[in-house]
Amino acid sequence: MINIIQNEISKIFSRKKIYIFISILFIVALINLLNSLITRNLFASQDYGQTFPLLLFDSVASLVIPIFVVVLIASMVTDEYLDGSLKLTLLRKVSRNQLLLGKMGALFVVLFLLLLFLLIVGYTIGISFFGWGKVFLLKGKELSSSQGILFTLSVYTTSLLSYISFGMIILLFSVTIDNSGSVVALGLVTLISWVFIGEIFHKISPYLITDYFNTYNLFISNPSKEKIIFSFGVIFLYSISFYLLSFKIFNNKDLLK
Amino acid sequence: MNSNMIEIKKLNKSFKDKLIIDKLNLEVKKGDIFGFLGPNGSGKTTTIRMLLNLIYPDDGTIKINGYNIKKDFDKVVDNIGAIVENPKFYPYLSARKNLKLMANLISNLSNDRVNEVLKTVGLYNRADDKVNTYSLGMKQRLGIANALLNKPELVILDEPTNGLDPKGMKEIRDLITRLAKENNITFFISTHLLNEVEQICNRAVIIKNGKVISQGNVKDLINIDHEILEIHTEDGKKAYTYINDLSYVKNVKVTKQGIRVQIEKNKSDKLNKLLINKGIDIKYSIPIKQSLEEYFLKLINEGDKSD
Repeated sequence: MINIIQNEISKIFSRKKIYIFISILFIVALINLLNSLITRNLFASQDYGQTFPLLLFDSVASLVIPIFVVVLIASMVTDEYLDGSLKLTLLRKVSRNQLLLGKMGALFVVLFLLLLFLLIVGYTIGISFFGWGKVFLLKGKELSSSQGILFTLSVYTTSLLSYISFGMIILLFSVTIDNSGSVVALGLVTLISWVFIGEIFHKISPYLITDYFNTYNLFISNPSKEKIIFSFGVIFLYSISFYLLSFKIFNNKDLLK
Repeated sequence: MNSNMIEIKKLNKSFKDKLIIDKLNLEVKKGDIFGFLGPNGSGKTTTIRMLLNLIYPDDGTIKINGYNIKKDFDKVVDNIGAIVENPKFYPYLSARKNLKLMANLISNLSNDRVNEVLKTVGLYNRADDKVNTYSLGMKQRLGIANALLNKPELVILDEPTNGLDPKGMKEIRDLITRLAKENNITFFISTHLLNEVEQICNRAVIIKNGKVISQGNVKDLINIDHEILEIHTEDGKKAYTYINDLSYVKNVKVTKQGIRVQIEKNKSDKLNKLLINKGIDIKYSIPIKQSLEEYFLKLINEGDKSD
């Protein structure tokens, strides 16, 4: 399994897409910096470097990173199926289940690295331009520095899980539809419509995976244990059910390309 | 000990109610270079995909090295190397990197194996070039290198010389013959090129519309139950009238040189004697070696008539 994940990661980092993603994240970080500098000058607001990674994450969490997930999975599964290279791995001692799990494992590692990059860029820019700051202060919430770091890491980590969960939905599209453009289009429609539905119908939003892309709001509201368990349950349920469905379809699929 | 490398029994496969493979039976012996012949659309690639578990049969069994691949594919896949249709690689990676990724999925492989197979197929000096700069012939050779990585006992090649120029074809055929000899590899080669089978295969099967229409040793397939004689004489028309109704004459045509006659095997002496006794002046009597191509076309045409 580790070998399959290594191969997938190696392929991802040999293509331009990942460097485009990294560049986009960097550009978004610069835009956020500019925005913070302007706000600071206009309104004399006080931004601290230690909160900048969360500000930055807030601006990419709901759309930018999920779009990366859609594009990455369409490329890893549908594109490889269509260009015939998917079978290269299956002609070795690799089962279809191992192949899909390997691809999802690689997605996890790549997203982890992208978020780590975002976190490092966030702290670096934040501290360089605003200093570390006395306390962690964001949207009226004040925490000590150590609590702030822990809070930031929690948001990044749990969001990573929700992206993987969303990735399983895209995986289902990828093994079902033999056209990567359609997979991307359907993925984007799903993403945008679910975000939209979540914004309008607040009662439904806890059941939508898109609601957990940015867990800032969840953690900031001092949630009960039940709420946290429910949230993780939703993320877990999406992951398992969509993976099993994807696997069932892929395992029975005639690979004709 | 099982002497069959591949055993296919009553294999069926349909796509959307269209029967593609129809009760296919075949056996490939260990050490064979086995030709899997058929016109385009006859079901060759579908069969190969089923051999490699990429698609699943509706019915029938496939055994490789004695193992039923439905249950034990993981036990045989380590001993198989394959190219299905055109060799596919990650075009944005070099040949070496492609092979290294594949080698990473094979256990107990020596570190130098990638270089070894690159040398075997003559790509060592271009190994660090990206695959998207390769010609089709180079990709075919890289496909063979990939198929050889795990030191397989069985190599399955789907149209390995398709799209190559004559030089490239010869190189691939020579490579296959050499590998079969030196490494004792069984080859299963699908092709629609009859001379390819004639040149490199010892046994072959001919399929059409998913059905086996002939199977056996290539020599026997060529050396079938009749022979063709080209008889040069100035009395062609006269000769025609004498022999046209003979029971052992299957077909006779008057030609510029005389007659061309298709007769039962081992009847040429009798025919020549008869013509001489009838006073026909025979200048030459030339036996025409039937190629597999003629045999193949005859079978295919017979199949067409019966359809």
